[in-house]
Amino acid sequence: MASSPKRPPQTLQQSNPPGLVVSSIATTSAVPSTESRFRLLTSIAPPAGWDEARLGLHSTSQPLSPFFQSNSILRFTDTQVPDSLENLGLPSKQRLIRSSNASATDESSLKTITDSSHNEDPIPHCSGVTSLSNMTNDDSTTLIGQSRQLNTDNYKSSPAYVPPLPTPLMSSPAPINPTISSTPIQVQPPVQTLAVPQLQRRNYQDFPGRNKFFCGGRFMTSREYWAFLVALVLIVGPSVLFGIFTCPFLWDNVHPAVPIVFCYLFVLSFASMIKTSWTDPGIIPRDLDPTPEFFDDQGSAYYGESEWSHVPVQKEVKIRDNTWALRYCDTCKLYRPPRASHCRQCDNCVENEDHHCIWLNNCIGKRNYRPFFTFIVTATFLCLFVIVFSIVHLLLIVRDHSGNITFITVFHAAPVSFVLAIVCFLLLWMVGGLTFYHCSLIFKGVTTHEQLRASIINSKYPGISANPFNKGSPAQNMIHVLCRPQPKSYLRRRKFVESSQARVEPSQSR
Amino acid sequence: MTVRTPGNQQRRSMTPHILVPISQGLVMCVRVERDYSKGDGITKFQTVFPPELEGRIQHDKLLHTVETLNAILLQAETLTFRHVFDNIMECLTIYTWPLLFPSKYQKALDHLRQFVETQNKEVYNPLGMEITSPVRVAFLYLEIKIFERNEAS
Repeated sequence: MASSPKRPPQTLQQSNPPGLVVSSIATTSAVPSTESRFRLLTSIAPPAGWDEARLGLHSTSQPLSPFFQSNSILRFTDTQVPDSLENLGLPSKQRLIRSSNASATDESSLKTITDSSHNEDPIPHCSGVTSLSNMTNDDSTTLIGQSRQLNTDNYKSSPAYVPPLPTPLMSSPAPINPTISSTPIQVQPPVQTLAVPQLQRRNYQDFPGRNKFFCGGRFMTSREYWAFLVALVLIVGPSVLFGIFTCPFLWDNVHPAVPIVFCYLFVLSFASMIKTSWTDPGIIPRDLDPTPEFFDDQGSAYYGESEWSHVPVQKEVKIRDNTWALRYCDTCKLYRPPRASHCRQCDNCVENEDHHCIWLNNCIGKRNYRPFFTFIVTATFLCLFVIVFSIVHLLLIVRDHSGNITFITVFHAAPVSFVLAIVCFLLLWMVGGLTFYHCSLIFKGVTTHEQLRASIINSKYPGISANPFNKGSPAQNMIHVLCRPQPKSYLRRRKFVESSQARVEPSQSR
Repeated sequence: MTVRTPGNQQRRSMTPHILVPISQGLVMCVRVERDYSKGDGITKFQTVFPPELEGRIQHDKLLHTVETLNAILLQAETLTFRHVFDNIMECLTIYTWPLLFPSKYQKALDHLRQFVETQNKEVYNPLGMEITSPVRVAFLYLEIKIFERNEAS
């Protein structure tokens, strides 16, 4: 079990940087709990100095370790600052202030060995970390060469904002020289000594994932929105054409209720699409577990170099009768709860992630599965509706022209209906197929990710039943998936950034 | 208000916040972990007393807090006919129903927030501790911050 010795609680009144939190996880010492325990794959024998490295990170004797230095520099050169639509028109100097503010507020957040290990080379040690997920604010070392090219304009235009640097951090004074490529770190000016007024920033402006925010942080979606535009056109286009060309005929000749039902279905489908696409899918906030327990991976090729063989342990929890391992997410710095998954496109951990939908440009997770399902069901009904009533339109034209009627006359009388019927027939296969697939997933009570994993596992090891979340009957599963309560977003997008210094005193109520 | 940085630099911060250096007073953060034994969809915390709190608080007070939190969350998340009806109406009315009739879950979350506040005020702050609301950490754990006693009110 936990072999790290119990230390007396370390007070932080020495010169440790403010904001350093000694977090001791409750079950590191032997807790007689049958339900949750930490499982260490090997017994931990922390190397000498490991304890200091973990807890007394930046002691007075060494206030500026090289890793800390490069980390703050990384913040400054970071091009991953999420650009909300509001910031696009900002001149470069304000971008400078923005990125400096982001790092200034972050400078005293916890800098652990995991951060330093990412500076060198983002080799994923623990499973669940993908290549794309390594490229975040924390470990954008590999992007320094690229980002410098983009940021040189910023630096060139605002040298006045870089004051002389009294800290030993800065040895080379010349701030900008884009031709220097051999020592990139020295070129970047540090951030913490910029004496500029801090702008009041909201949380969404500093969000580290790959998301775009609209309307002051009220809406959010992922980055690649070309497929969303295609999907929008495919929904709105045929519906508008149907409304203009076929509905008047149906209103007069069939029944007024038909266009009304069509309008209702269209509005519901469109609203569901927007709600699925522009709301938070259930993103888990980052940095909830910045100091996980490590174990020395003696089998690792990098054993011996202290940072590289430290792999966070996996936690084990019991779900019903099964034991489940919680993996540590290096990017988001937390232990993923069961059923959560780290999305590569959005670079976030999402609760109960079903899949990332490129057509809606968002992950489908716990918070937006219901509107997603509503959207595909109503889209299927819309397709069926359009097909049926386009054909009715054509048949009624044939009946009205009883007599010499040819295909060409019918086509000229109602060309739009003809085309709509064909287009919607093709769309029906796609959307309808997806609807049936999700219905089958709902009856089983699994997400898309789990289903895909299970099919891989079953092909390799037949006989293992993998789903501890099945409630027993399909009806129960369906009720649970479709009617579970929707939690509020955890991101606090429109709240102002709390710097780690600005904490409410314990006597004040929240 | 000036704040010390690691390099012993003084930096004036001009945010409107009142800056309290967090290094003064915070001793430890103790966690009560989640209990997943009931499966997906039920949020529960373990009713295990963390040994770091030995001597700082009585067992039954902490367990009362955790058990009440569990009860509030259980009531919020257990699916009833009311939940199903609310969700169907929400879809049928094109998502305007929750604006008029707040859902049971939202009310439970408000109740939870008030409960945590009162517990902090009455029980934990006098003992030099503070519970962070689990909503902040996406219900992954329940965090109890321990401050030095002479800093607490």
